[in-house]
Amino acid sequence: MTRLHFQPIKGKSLDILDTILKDKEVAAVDATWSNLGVVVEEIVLNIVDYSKSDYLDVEIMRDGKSITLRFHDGGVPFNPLEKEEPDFTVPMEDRKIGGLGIFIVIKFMDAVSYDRSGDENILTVMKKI
Amino acid sequence: MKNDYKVDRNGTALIITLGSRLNTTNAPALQEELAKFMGETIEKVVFDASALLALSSSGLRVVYFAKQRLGNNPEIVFVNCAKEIYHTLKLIGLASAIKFMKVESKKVVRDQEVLEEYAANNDVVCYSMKMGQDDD
Repeated sequence: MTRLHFQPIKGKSLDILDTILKDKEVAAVDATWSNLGVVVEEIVLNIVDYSKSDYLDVEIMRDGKSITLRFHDGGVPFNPLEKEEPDFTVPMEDRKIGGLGIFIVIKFMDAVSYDRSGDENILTVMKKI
Repeated sequence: MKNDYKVDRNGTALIITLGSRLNTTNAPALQEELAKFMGETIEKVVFDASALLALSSSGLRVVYFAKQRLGNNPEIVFVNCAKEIYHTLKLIGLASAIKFMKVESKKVVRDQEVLEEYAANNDVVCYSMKMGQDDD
């Protein structure tokens, strides 16, 4: 298991993403399934932009059958699984843009779970490989 | 391509040639580039997705921007869209609002003749139904 530690400072999102995507386990999966990079992007940007946390820790675990990423932040409580899905029945030209990132994460991954432990948000995502 | 995209204008059509990713690293810059065409007559926005492998919500915002802010509700076209990208567009309910086209050779996508073909109102080959067969 790898554990990475970041300060989720606005303007540093790309550096954080780059570091996670260069992790050898993440890079190996992303090379054949590019949506892993998309999922990491959506989660990291959400934490950096909205959590107000002063830290972001990312655990990366991979075995022969799956890859799991666990994101820890000490920001405002936010359970993405409780977020309302975007309304896709509205025509594209009139649709409000928002909530797409979380929706994509939930749809792309095989399992997504959220825990609030003490003052910490813990979001775990798993993809079978 | 700097920023991994290229924007060409051909009459009332914009042809956007994408690189391997349209995400937070390059989507804001592309949107800024497209904003220069606001207020102009744009009838069609063509995304050449021949090389595109990953499309995040930042990239999707650019597609929405093209539809909602350019011209008067322009047609949105994706050329040579990979199955995973099509799946993403379908997932968020955009597939039915986009025309999908296939051009056999990536090389000809950049030929002036093909760009003019995009710009015209002629339909070429719409393969959205074929692409959708393997989904779900």
